[in-house]
Amino acid sequence: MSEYSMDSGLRPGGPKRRLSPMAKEDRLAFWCFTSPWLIGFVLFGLGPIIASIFLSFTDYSSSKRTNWVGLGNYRELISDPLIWKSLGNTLFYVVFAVPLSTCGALMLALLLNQKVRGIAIWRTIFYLPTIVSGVAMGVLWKWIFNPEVGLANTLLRPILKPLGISDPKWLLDPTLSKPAYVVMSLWGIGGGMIIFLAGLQGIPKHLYEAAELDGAGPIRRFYHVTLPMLSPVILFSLTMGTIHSFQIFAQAYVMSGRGPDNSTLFYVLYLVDQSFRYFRMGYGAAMAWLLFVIILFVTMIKFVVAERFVYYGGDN
Amino acid sequence: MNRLSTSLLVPLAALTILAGALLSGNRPVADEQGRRVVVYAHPPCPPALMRYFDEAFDDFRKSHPDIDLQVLHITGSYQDKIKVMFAGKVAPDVIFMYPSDLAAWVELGALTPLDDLLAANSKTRVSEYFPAAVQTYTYNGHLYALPKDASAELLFYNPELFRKHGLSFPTADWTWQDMLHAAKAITEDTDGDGRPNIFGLQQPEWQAMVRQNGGRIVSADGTRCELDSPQSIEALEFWVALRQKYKVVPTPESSADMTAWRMFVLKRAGMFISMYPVVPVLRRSCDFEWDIALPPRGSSDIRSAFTGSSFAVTSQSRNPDAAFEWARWMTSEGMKHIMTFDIPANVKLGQSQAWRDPAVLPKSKQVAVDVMQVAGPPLQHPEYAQIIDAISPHLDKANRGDCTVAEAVQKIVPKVNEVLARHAQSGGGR
Repeated sequence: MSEYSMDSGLRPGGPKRRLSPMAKEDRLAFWCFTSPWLIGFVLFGLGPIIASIFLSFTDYSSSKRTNWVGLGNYRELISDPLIWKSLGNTLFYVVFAVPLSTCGALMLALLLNQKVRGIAIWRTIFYLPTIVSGVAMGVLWKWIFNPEVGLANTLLRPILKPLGISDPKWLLDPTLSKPAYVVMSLWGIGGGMIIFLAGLQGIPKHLYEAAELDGAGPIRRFYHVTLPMLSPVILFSLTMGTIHSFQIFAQAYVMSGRGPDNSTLFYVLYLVDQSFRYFRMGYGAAMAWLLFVIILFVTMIKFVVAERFVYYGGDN
Repeated sequence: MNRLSTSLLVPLAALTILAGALLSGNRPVADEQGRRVVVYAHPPCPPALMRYFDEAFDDFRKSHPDIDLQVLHITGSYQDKIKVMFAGKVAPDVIFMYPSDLAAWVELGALTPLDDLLAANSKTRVSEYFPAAVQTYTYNGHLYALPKDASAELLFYNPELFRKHGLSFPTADWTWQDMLHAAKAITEDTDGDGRPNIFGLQQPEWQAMVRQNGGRIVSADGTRCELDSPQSIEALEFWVALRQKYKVVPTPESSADMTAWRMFVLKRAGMFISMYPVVPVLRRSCDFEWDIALPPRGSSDIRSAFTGSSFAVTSQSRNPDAAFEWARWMTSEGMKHIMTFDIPANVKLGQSQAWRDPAVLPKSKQVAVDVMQVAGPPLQHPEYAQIIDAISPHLDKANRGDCTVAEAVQKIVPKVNEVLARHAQSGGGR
């Protein structure tokens, strides 16, 4: 579908069409409804975006005289060992947290798509954690992962002690700190669950009936009806999840900071340190653009791969 | 570029430029009544203390009818917000500042030197402040802030626990070994699970121990890391041994993320080293007797580092004279409103009876003033945060027992030197 196929009166190359009063009204409505976002974006988004491109080629530090450093910041990105460390930490989180959260959200949506009493209450209960702010969530999980008095070890201790395994130190242990964040990511699956629920309820019933008539059991119906019909939603969930996970910050800032041995030094945490603790805002801008390129690259790969797996025929 | 893109992008770009012009605000020099405007950015502050600051603000407004004092209450990260205000050229006239931030602010050109303003002022002389406090806020030979309070690390202890174990109270000539002896006696496993519940001591900051032993993080000329000196290594080894060998300080897991003072308040730690501003918290939270003493001696006469806070006039101030007057008043006459919470950096106030009210703890208030005689300036370097970040992961590793202090220091020194060299290359340095 081309971007011009809406009845906007704008057609490439062709003569300008006279708009009907209804089309004019539609156009006015379009601008009225989009203007709050557009104005907000221009005022608070576009300016900083353009400025940050320029700043990434300088040694800008908010007060000092700014010097043009060309590709200096980008060259330093390559040689800074903490960039690679933070990228590795972030990638670990993305690789494990995104699929786990997506699977968790899908399973929860399947369960909450059943016709049982009080389903609305269950849906509300599972959605509630997602409205907790990142900082509050960080404080809560910091307590959960406390090795001595935290909930996680209180539950695990009766299982681990007979096996002779000592209490995990979670955020205080360089090897367990990142997995702890992956576990914590499941807390927010309520958001994905709502999207999957909407997707599940949009699957035509007749497809299940036809599959049932053909002798398909619940598992085959899931693999051959539910999954293909949900594939655009799964792609959306994976894409948004990846973008958000690459930007993990608030929880790490509150829970462990850089963590033992810099094991929870996530990329955005390091970016904030460079920009606002070390005053190196030019370098921070270069870091931000590197992250943008990485996310763009990963998203593009995802879309290329998705062409083979995602089924968009549901509406037809 | 097609017509749609052009028709959208041109107005958007124009709007961006217009917004930029509108938002790069200019604050007024005077208000509608012709009074000079002074904007002071106040840091996040507990309500119990804020009440006293509010009294001070009102008092200043009454005594200075020609100045319109406008207080910006900053919430969240003070530093970040001030930096953003600087970037937007709308920095306040006066900022609240800690010693560790001085070098970075000065090198950013964010502060106004106060020497001339102070010299021209007839109400206050530099000699009215504790010399060490003045030294702390002097950089490259210029005074950049007026000290509000002068604090230094002190040893806080629980006399009840000392009596219980037949220990004599800490004295001015206490050494690390005396502290260790007391900490060993106080450390106790009360529930018999093999893990101590009461600890003799909360692990002090490693920087404090290095200082007490005559070591330094960075050389005086700011060119190299000196954590590999014998004094520094000895201090760091003792610091690690408190946890790994003597087990008299809690591990992070056994302290359950509690701050030093909270462990002390819960009677789970017999001693901790902290700055004077923790005093109001202890007054509010402790239902038992507590007192202060000089920190123990390592091999150096310096036992503590100066800290405290100050008021600095920014380089973007449009009324530097009026801004200076606010800072001056707040560190002298105005300080009387808040001095139960701090040790006033103003010598006269620090020695006044009002501050020494015997009805409130700690009993040994004089120690909080005496400590200034054995305190040195803290590390002041524009790359302070980067230096500490380069050190911390390796020392944490040694503190966990995952490597020796010597191994940690071997990795730390080149990293810190790299930060120092990069700073020197960028034209910085003292």
